[in-house]
Amino acid sequence: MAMIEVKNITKSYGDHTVLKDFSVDFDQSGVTVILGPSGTGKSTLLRCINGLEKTNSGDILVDGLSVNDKKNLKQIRMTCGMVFQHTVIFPHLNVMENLIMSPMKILKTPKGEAIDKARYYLKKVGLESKEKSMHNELSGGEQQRIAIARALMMNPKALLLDEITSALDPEMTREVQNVLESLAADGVCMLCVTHEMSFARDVASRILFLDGGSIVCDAPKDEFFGKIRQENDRINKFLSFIGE
Amino acid sequence: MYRLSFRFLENPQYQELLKEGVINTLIITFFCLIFGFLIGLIVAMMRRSKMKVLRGFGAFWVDFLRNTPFLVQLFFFYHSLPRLGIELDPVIVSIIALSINTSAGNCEVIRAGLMAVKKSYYECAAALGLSTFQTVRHVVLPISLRVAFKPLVSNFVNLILTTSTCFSITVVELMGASKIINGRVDRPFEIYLLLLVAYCCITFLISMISKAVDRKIAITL
Repeated sequence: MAMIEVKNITKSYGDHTVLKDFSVDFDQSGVTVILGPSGTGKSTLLRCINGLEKTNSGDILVDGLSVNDKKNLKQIRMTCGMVFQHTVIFPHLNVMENLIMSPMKILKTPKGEAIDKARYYLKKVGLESKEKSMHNELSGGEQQRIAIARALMMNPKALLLDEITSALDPEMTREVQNVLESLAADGVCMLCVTHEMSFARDVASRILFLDGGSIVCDAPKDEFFGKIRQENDRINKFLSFIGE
Repeated sequence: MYRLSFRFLENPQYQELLKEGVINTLIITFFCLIFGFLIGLIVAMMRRSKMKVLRGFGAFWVDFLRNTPFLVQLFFFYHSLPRLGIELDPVIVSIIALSINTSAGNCEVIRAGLMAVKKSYYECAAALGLSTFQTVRHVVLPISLRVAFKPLVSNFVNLILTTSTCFSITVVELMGASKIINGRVDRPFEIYLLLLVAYCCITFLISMISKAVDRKIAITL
């Protein structure tokens, strides 16, 4: 059984249908990069998996739990940590407090243990010196790295990353990508919506290309950038547009 | 030429009266601060509720209290409650009326603070697995109350000043005590000058303390 099973979901905003009878499975392994033009349902898919958006029909099972059942949302959100494009580092808490809040409040982790864990992940994202900093003392790239560390504090089986570098300059993007590459090397499962082709090329194991709310292509990375790109005009056009 | 004289302050009887006035002013202020804040918080939550009935009640509460004079509200409670068989000490009536009155202003300030917390904060907290209650308790309220701190202090200062109207229902607070003393010694210039200085010192002190606190808790969103 796949860790995440998306079963025939349809999601509309008013008259606009974003995902149409959409199905896909994700195992708890590797890095899946979700590509596609804007407005094609990539972010919506991640938000539906995390239960932040309700689907109009169909179901999503995360570790066998349906997102349609409100009681499961807490467990599902612990299973799938999510980081957003415009991530929020809670402004009334410093970095350390941001990291330890959810494990202490939800998992009831003792404070000392939570702090040790937070220090481990801060080191992992290269920000061990920032534990006392407030959000306005951090760059955009640092905030995203803190958000990744914060999501990892809940021991998720997968990370859902929604265009987390799209609001960053190239230097900060590189910083965040380095962290993601290091996590991928550690075997952390990630579903990643991005337009960063270098990340897709270097780290992805699987590419999902969406267009018009449907899957155009679901293939291993090498196949996607090789044979499929040559054969599929839509994908070739998209990749050419973004300078790939 | 008029000669200032504060010799009446040496009279132990007047000292007692002033002491009673200070104590009653502090009691009324203290309880109204707590109850006014709590009622304001609850009504602010109602005004942000998804339920139309609660939103409507919250809006009515604020509009009604802000569009009626406090003195009338005070008289309403003081003179109406005994007709319902509820006999209360004037200090308690003052606390009830002033808490309710203050809650309207506090509600609007807290509501503005709640509105300053963007949707992304709620989503981020939800994505971390926090329940709605935990999100409100650990994320939304700490942020919105920091945003609302300065206007809340302003409401608090206003509350202290408004306690002076409670003398009109026989409460011996600072204003009431001064009025009684003036009735006996006929030194309005000295007594009311003292009273003005006292109120000014109290509110100035609060303003200084609040500035120091604000520097500590201020956040940028």
